[in-house]
Order: sequence, then structure tokens, then C-alpha cells
Amino acid sequence: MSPGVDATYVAEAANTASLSVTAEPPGHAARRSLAGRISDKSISILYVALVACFLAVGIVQTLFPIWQFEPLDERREPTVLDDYLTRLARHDPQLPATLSGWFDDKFGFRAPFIRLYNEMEYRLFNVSAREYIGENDFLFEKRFFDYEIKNSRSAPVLERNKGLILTHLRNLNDYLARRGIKLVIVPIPPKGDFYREYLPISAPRLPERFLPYEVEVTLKNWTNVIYVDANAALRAALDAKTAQAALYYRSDPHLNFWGALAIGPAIANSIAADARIGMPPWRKFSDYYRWPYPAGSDQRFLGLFGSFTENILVPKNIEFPFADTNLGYWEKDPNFHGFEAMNESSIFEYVYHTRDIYLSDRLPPVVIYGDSFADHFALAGLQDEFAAVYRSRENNRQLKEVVDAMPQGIKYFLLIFNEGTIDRFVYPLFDVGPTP
Amino acid sequence: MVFSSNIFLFVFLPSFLLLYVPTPRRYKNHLLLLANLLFYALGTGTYVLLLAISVIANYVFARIILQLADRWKTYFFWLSVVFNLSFLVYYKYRAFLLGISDSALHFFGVDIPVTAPELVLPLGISFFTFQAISYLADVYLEQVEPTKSLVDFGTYHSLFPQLLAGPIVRYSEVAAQVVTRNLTWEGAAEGTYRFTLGLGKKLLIANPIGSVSEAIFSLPQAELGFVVAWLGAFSYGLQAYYDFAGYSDMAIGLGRILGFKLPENFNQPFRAQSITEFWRRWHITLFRWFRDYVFIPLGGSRPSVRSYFALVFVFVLCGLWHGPTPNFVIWGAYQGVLMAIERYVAIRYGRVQRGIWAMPLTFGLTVLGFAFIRCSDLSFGWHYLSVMVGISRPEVVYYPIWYYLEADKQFVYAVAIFFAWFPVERLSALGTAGGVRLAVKYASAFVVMALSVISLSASSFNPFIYFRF
Repeated sequence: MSPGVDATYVAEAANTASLSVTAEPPGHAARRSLAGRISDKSISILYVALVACFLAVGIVQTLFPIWQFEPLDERREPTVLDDYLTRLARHDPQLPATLSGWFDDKFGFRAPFIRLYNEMEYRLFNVSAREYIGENDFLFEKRFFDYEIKNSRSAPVLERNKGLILTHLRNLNDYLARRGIKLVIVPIPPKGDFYREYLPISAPRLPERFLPYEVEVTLKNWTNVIYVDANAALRAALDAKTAQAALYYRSDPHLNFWGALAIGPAIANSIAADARIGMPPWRKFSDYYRWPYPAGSDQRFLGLFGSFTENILVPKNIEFPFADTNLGYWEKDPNFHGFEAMNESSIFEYVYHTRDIYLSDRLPPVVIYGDSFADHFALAGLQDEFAAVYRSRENNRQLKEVVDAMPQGIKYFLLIFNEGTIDRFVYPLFDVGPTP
Repeated sequence: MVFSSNIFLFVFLPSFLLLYVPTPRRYKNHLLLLANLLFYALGTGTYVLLLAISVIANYVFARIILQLADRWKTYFFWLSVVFNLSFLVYYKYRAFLLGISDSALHFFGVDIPVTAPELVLPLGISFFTFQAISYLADVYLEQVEPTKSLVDFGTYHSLFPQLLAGPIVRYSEVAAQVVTRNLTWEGAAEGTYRFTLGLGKKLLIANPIGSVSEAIFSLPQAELGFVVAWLGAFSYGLQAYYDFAGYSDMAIGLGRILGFKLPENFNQPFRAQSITEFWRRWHITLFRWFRDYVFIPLGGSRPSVRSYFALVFVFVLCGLWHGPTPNFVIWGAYQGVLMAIERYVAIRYGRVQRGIWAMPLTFGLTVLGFAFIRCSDLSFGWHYLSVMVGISRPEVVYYPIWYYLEADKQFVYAVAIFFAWFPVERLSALGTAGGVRLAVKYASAFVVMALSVISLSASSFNPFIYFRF
């Protein structure tokens, strides 16, 4: 033992001894002090052993998983630790974070610990790191608000984005017009904008000069495109109380069947008016049941232990998943599973053909190019209005490819997308050049 | 690699301890030195050579200073200080100094475009440079005898628990422990407890509050309102405290596990009733370094006009040490001027006025300074202060105050405020028998550790909507 340490211990011991002597009889104090010391040492050993076990179990579970935990559905690749030595040599400042992230992704208790943390946040404080938990358990993705505010908060950025979007839409419209096809634009309001009354007080306010609104005002005045005011259609359905449920999922950002049913007829009606023919009658629905909606990215972002599957009221006579009926039949890509984006697909993930006997009173064939917000129109029966529907998904295929692959006879090109990401949606239009 | 990471907690630390504990006493320092260099290399790569050069050079410098006498000794001491500072200046202050010279030349109508290539700052360079200077100064002043063993010196100079962020340890404080130290269960338990306390401060308090200050200081100027600006400054103050004090706790705890008793670095600084007291409670080892090696040699301890200038000068240096930006320099000057005023009042009127307002006033002045250094540049710094004093108002507000204060954050703030201001020494008076109290203390610490690791995992949760985005 070093002299310094000795001195400290001696001083402490002397101090303790003097206190003991004045407080209690010498023998009793000595016995108590000894018992106390043994007890303290045992507690110390127990504590160190407990922590050591905690760390050991963590690393053992990482190396040789003993318990199987349901992995989190994050839809991202795990962090890769590539070129470690090269990056070390050039002092990559991100390397420590990458190293940490690489191990974190492999950590054996990652999934249950994340779920446990999220569960505590949700149960104790009714909050989540990635979602606003609104009235009636309506979930709103936080990133959406930050994204919209970032895009709209600065007037120059707003003007630039607006200019780009309108230019690209104009290019597309010119391109299609030269082929005798009319552009139909259907921007769907985002849930966080439409159901503002359900937002908690901690949610940010969307800007008054909101990029989608700015674009909308201009598009409404364009005479050579068909602009479908989805927001007005949804409001009308809400006011008329025709829907049997909310128009959006609580646990997902998308429109549900009822939202699609509110907008679908407006789309068909606008096209019918343009084609100067009567709108085919919309399918009638009756007898409802609760359908467990399996997706729900908002609930996925909550990352809880239990399933947050939402049971949504839907009519019994809608077809899952995209089954043939006496009205028409589906030609589906083998990888097409309904609502999940595919990694690889043909340009058209499905083509719906109306049966010949009904063709005479249907609207002309159309292409629907859209994001996942276009999915539920198939459930609501939009396809029954047209002679044929060619569906292409924007995160699988660039617009130029789709436009070039369109079959003969297409008369309308529908853009259906989440208005909140209008800028991201429109950027692929960069590729659309002048007609050769 | 930081202490508050899973890879440190579950891989580096246990692996090292498994080797360290059974290693015979005479080889412990060899192993520790290797671990220090490995720890540094894992985060900074070949900069570990810089650390190795620093170890060898300062070991040699100290031995030479010991051999020399009088004038040569002094020359050599200053040469060794310049050697140490040259690395710091090159890596940390080069761009700042080039900027100043560029501005000065521009002022005189000379435009010579000079661009400094971007360099990554070697981690902890400010700390190990100051520690080396303190060692050399103590040897020069014959306050400590330099060690004969390069391994022992290397162990002290590159000790991984305090290598990256302090505390700045004087050699005399650990000289005996560097040579020989005992590993005990009690020491291991106390060290683990202290480490856990630091881990909790960092992960459960500093990080959540840091996310608030990050969000507020990222706001455009036009969206910054009075209440939000104060919340940002307050949050940054708490974040800085819990982050840094947490790191110091972890360093002290790790040191204790290894058998070292490292000096304390924080003592509830927000309870200070004056700026002078604040600096006796905040980053204690740095303030002590400046006091012993700059302020006193400049004659600052003697009551004279010179001492006021020395005070301001020392704090300008202190500001520069924290960061090579104009904001830090001004902040340092601000601290120095405040302390000079307090010193004048103390000398003129006998003592600094204390009372019910002393603590909030000190905290308010401190927070103003913190807000200024958190701003990205001077222009934003002035604007931020103007909002805090009510001169500027926001043009538009998108993020309401409740955006920053969701229920979980409110809870964290409550805990943070309690432990920042409540006299924690009273907590140790609670409870009954010593054994029970110890058991409760360690059980609580274990819960804190579990919660910290859980929150560490949660911070890696990063879901996406689609694969491709």
C-alpha cells in the first residue's frame, strides 16, 4: 500500500475510532463496527456481482442468443462497419458513432429494451419519441411536421419549391397532352393537416403559407388539367356524416376505405364531366364488419410490445385481396401483395380489366401513378368506373418509364399522392423531357 | 469510444477488467497503458501516435528538467511548454488564428487568401496537453519528483478514464497510486456506483434535455421568442452540467474501480451564490489549473489593479480553451469581468453581497453566458441575447412551448432541477442503519444502470416507412 493511501486510511480509521469511543462502550462499538464492515463488504460484493452478471448476460445474449425476441420492423439495413482501418487512418470523425451503431444493432437485448423504453414512455407519459399521440389515440408522425415546416418556413425556399413543382407538372402535362392524354391531379391532404383537431397541444402549427396550399391555389386555376379537390370531398363526407368511421387510420398515415370512398366518386365525376359522359353508378356497399388492418406505420414507429392492430369497419362485399368479380378481373404482378411497397416489380403492379359486357358505360382506360395513398381506392371500387386501370407505384418506378410504357388507348393519367410530400413526389418528373 | 455506449459497457470495459484484475501488480500498469492506447486508437486512429509522442516527450522533458539547473532549466521548461502547446495550437486554433490574421491583413488592404485544410481535432488534446504542462510545471517548481518509469508516466498521462474529458489530474494527486494501488470490493462497488451515477446523468438527464436545447438553438432567428429562448438557455445550462458532470462521475468511478482516487470536478455549481463561487464548483480541476499555472504566476493573487487584468486574461484564455470561436472569447471575457467586479466589491466592501437573490442572479448570469456560447456565431449570439432581454420578438412561431415540454421531458426537468439545487449531502443523512442505506443506494444505482442501458438502446431505434427511403 502506498504512503498516500496509508495516510488516508489511517486518518479515516482514527476519525471513526474517536467517534465510536465517545458514542458507545468500547467493546460494543468494536463488535458493531466489525459487523458493519462485514455487512458492507457483502453488500459491495453482491452489488458488483449483480452488475457483472448484467453485463455478462448482455454480451452472452449478443454472441449466443438464448432468448428469441421479435425483431423490430425498422425497414432499414443494419449499420455496416466497412473500411474500418482505412477510416481509422484518415480520422473519420463519424467512425466512433458508426462503431457504436454497428454494435447497437447487434446488441442481444436491443429489441426488448427499445420496446420496454417505448412502452414506459407511452404508458407513463402518453408520449412517444416519433409520434404525437392525439385524441382518440390518433397517431401522427412527428417527422411530417418538421418536414413541412422546413419546406415552408422560408419564403425563398417556398417559392423555389413551388416553382419546381409547377414546372415539373407543366412539363408532364405538355408531354401527355401531345399524346392526347389528360392529366388528373389528386393530392390527398395529410392526416396531420386534415385532422388537426385531434393533435395534442405539443404538436407544431403548420405554416399558413404551406407548400401544398400554395401549389393547390395555382393548380386550381389551370384549365388544361383536371384538379380533384380531395380535401373538399373529405370535408363534405365529414359534414354529411356519411362515413361509418374516421376517414384515416388512427395507427397509420393513410386514408382508409372511408376516405377513399369519399374521394373516389369525386375523381370519377370530374373525369366523366371532362369526357362529357355520365358517371357510371358507384358500387353499393352494405353489411359491415371489423377488418383488422395489419400495417400501420404510425404504430410501428411507437415500437411497443403489444400489437396495435386497428380494426376498421368495412363493408363485407369489398374484395380482399383484389379478387376477381363479375364486374372485372385483375392482372397482378406476382410480387404484388396489396398494400406493401415492393422492392422489384413490373412497371404496372396490377391492371384491372372491366368485363366486356360492362365496357360500354365505363369511363376510358386510365393510368394511376401514385404513392401508397392511391392504394385504398381499389377497395372503394374506383376501378369499376373505368374500362381499365393500370397502376404504377412511384417508389418503384420513375415516371418517365411509366409514361413510355403506357398502352394505347389511355385517355387519363391520374397522379394520386400524399400532398404533404408533394415535392418528393414530383422530383422524378425531372426526367420528363420534351417529346422526341 | 464514449463511456455511455453499449460497446464500451458490454465489450471494452468487461474485457479489460477480466484481464486487469488477475494481472500481477507489477504488470498492471503495462496492461493499463496498452488499454489506454487501444481505447484512444479505437476512437481516433493514428492520432494515438500523437498521444504516444506526448507520453515519451514529456517523460523525457521532465527527466531533463530534473537534471538541469537555473537558467537552462527555465529555458528548457518553457521549450517543453511550447512543444506541448504547439500541437494544441496546430490542431485546435490554426483555423481561428488564420482567420484573425486574414481579417487583420484585410483591414490593412492586403488580401492573401489562406485556406487551412480541414483537420479532425484529436480527442482530448486540450486535456492531456494541460495535464502534461501541469506535470512539467510541478517538476520545474520541484513540487513533485518525476517518475523514473516510462510505463508509470504513460499510465498517468494517458489514463483512459480521464483521458478525453478530464478531470485534469495533477501528478502529485495520484503519484502513489500510479506506483501501487489496491483493488478492493468496496472500491469496486463505490466505483461502479459512481460510474452508474454518471451514466444516468448523461443518458437519462443530459441527453433528453439536450434534445430540447438542440431544437431551440436550431430555430431560425425569426422564430425565437422570449420564453423559448430562456428555456433553451436554461436547458443548455442543465445539459452542459449533467453531461460534463456525468462524464466526470464516470471517469472518477472508473478510476476508483482501477484503484485510483481522481479529484472531484463538479460540486452542484448552480447552487453558487456568486460567479467566483460558481467557478469553484464548475470544472474545478480546470479552474484550479488556470489559478495555479496562470493566474498566480501573473500576480493575480495580490490585491492590485494588475490582479483584475490577470483575472480577465485568465478567463479569456479559459474561453479559448473551451472553443476557438469569438463567442467563447467574449464569454471568457464576460466571466472575467463579472469575477473582477465581484473581487472589487469584496475588497471594497469586505464581502460579496449574498441573499435570497444571490443564487438565482448568479444562475441567470451564468445562463446568459451559456446561451451565448451555444449559438453558432456572433450574430446569432447577439440576437439570442436580445430576445432573452426582450428587445427582439419573433415574427412567427410554429413550435409551441409544449412542443419542447412533453410530459416525459417535464419529469426529466423536475429530476434535473432537484439534483442540481437540492443539497444532496442531506440525502446521505436519510435512512437508518449503514448497511440498509448502502443496500438501498446500490439497488437504486442498479435500477439507474438498467434504465440507462435501456435508454441507450432506445436511442438507436430508427424506423423508416419504406426500405428505400
